[in-house]
Amino acid sequence: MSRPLVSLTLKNFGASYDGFVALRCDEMSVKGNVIGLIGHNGAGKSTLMRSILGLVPISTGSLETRVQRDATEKIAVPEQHMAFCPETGSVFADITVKSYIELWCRFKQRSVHYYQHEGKQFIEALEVSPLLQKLGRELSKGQRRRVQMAIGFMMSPELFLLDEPFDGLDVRHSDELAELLAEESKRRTFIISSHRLDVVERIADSIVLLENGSVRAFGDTSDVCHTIAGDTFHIVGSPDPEDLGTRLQNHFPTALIHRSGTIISIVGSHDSVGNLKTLTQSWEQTELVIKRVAPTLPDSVSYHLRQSH
Amino acid sequence: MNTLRFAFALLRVPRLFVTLFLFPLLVSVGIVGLQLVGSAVVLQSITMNRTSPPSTDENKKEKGESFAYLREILLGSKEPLAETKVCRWVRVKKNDAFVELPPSAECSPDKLDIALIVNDPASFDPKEYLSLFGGNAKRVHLCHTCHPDVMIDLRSEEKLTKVTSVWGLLLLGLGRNSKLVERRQEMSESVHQADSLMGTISFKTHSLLEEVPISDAPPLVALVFNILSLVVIALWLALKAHRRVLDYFARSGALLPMVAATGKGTFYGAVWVLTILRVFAFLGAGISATIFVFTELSESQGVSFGDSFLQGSYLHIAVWLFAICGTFGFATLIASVSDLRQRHDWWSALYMSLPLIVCGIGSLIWASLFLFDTPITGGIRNVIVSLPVIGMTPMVLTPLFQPPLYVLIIHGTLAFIGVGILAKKNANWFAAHLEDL
Repeated sequence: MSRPLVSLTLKNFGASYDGFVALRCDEMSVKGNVIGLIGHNGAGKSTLMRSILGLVPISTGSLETRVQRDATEKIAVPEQHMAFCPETGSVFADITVKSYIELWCRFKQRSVHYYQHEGKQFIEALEVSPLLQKLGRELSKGQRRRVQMAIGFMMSPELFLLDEPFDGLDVRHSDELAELLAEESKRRTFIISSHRLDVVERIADSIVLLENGSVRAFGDTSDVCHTIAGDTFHIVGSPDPEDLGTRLQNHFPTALIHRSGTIISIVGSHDSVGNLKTLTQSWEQTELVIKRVAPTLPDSVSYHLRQSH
Repeated sequence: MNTLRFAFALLRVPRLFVTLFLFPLLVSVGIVGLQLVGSAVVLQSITMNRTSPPSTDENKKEKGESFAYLREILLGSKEPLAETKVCRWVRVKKNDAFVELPPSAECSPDKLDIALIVNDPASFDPKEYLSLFGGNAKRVHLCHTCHPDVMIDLRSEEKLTKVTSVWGLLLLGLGRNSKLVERRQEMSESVHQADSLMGTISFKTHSLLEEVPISDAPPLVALVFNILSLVVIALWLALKAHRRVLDYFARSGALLPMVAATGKGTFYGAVWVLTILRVFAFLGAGISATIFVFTELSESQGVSFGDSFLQGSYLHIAVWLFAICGTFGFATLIASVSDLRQRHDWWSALYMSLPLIVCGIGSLIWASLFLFDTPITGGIRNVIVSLPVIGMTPMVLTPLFQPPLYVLIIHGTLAFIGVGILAKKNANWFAAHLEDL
């Protein structure tokens, strides 16, 4: 059984608040099992997410979200097919987590005990059990988010939208959450906004890069990386990598060049292996191994931001 | 169906039931209850003064009754004492020195006597003090050195009263307050006498359609005030408390996930279901309590509400309530929308008081036009009354001033059009700024 897919289609799209256009996009069509929304603060990630959920009125054009499972495709309706976990999470301050979860179970699953049976796996996976007797006001931001995320999974959505789910998580919890999302992506689709590009790269198969309220790039993760940063080259075998790095940076002032041990990465040189070989040979470095590699998302975005500034 | 399911799911969480439903309801019913008790007490006292002449022996006895117990505790007799003895102390030479002594054995000082410390006990005239303490103290001493619990020093221009025990304080109060009651009794008699000479008073300038029943104004104003508070509290529950519910959701971060999970229509529908339940529960309790109190006052206390339309013309009552709901709804929405949009700015308080300022200006112009009473100013007054918010005060006082019916219809219609426009704007703005809440 293939993984379900979500597709996002925007045409002449505009979302504005009081005349200020928060997000605009002439045309975009992106499809994936897990779509990552990336961009700087204020780029329009939350606006796009809320537009998908129908929480922000669309001022111009159209936005269509479809979910596809096997051969069947349908328009995703927020209240029927989607769940949402905001960056801050949520629990009413003066009721217990248990009451809050029961409230959701009662009106979404029609069974107040749903979380103790079918939904139990998410309560355990997100370590919500120790929080059940606590009041909402006693929870940290991360704990509130875990509660809302467990609730979201228990609602069995076909599309789960997560706003900054990795924000504030340590390495262990980030890994555990990434594993959970990877596992759950077999059964449902996700749209995830995050600044954690390394994790997004691991779990997302499609990316939308937003910048200053408009869509800068979209598509498969590798395509987007290539679009914004061009080829990436790894150079190995230099007797003095630091010196070579400096020479390369001087030669390609706009490229992103960094060194990891003896490997030098060049992002955004817009050159070829042959030309690089010729160049390094002119610096009397003849034993180098130069390889073209797929650009990573963090490198591509770093390069892109460097170019923008 | 989903709307109701969601609304009742919220109410089934005990804490949410208390926060979203029970607490605002109890506060509102409590306010109405207190106000009704206050109105009943005020109206009862007004009616008692009006309907029964205060000069009857029976009435006086009743008023004096409360002091009788205090007198019995202090002096051993419920009735005022037959005589208050005046004791002028004398100076006599004893062992080569002058000492001050009471004039006779009957004047031996007691703790609960009154002492007037004067320069010349032999010549001081205590008439005024006897009228105050006569019957409420056994003795009044005129002396230099006597020490009962109440000492009034009259030796200088600045009089000074020293009380050295709680019993003395009670004695002082007995003299002071029983006289006040007598004075009030006398004033009441004068007012009653004047009222009986003039009969029922009414006010009607040339431009007024109906007479304003001045004699029946207090009960009528009390009734209007109570009806008004029902409307205002119902509107508060409907609009401001509605906002508080949304704020409650927003503060917890639950607003966006819940709106997304239920759909906008279902979510707002459920919040409105909670609001409507609260308003209906309040009106049910408030209206029945108001009807009970005022019927009781009318039947057992004989409170009259004049010939106002509140006693019969259901059409007038309906139109008046329509206009009240419209204009207060409009005013509350203006304040609410301004508060919503400018809530982070310091001038949001100004926006909130905007309807009050406009209403105040309108009321001032309307009232001052009575000073220049012509058919034209009468027409201008009607124009003011027909405008929502601006003419809110005279419209509320309709049972007294009774403007033409069409003026109230225009007022109510314009107000509801305003409510419609503002509600639409409010909803659009709200939809675009969910995260600002």
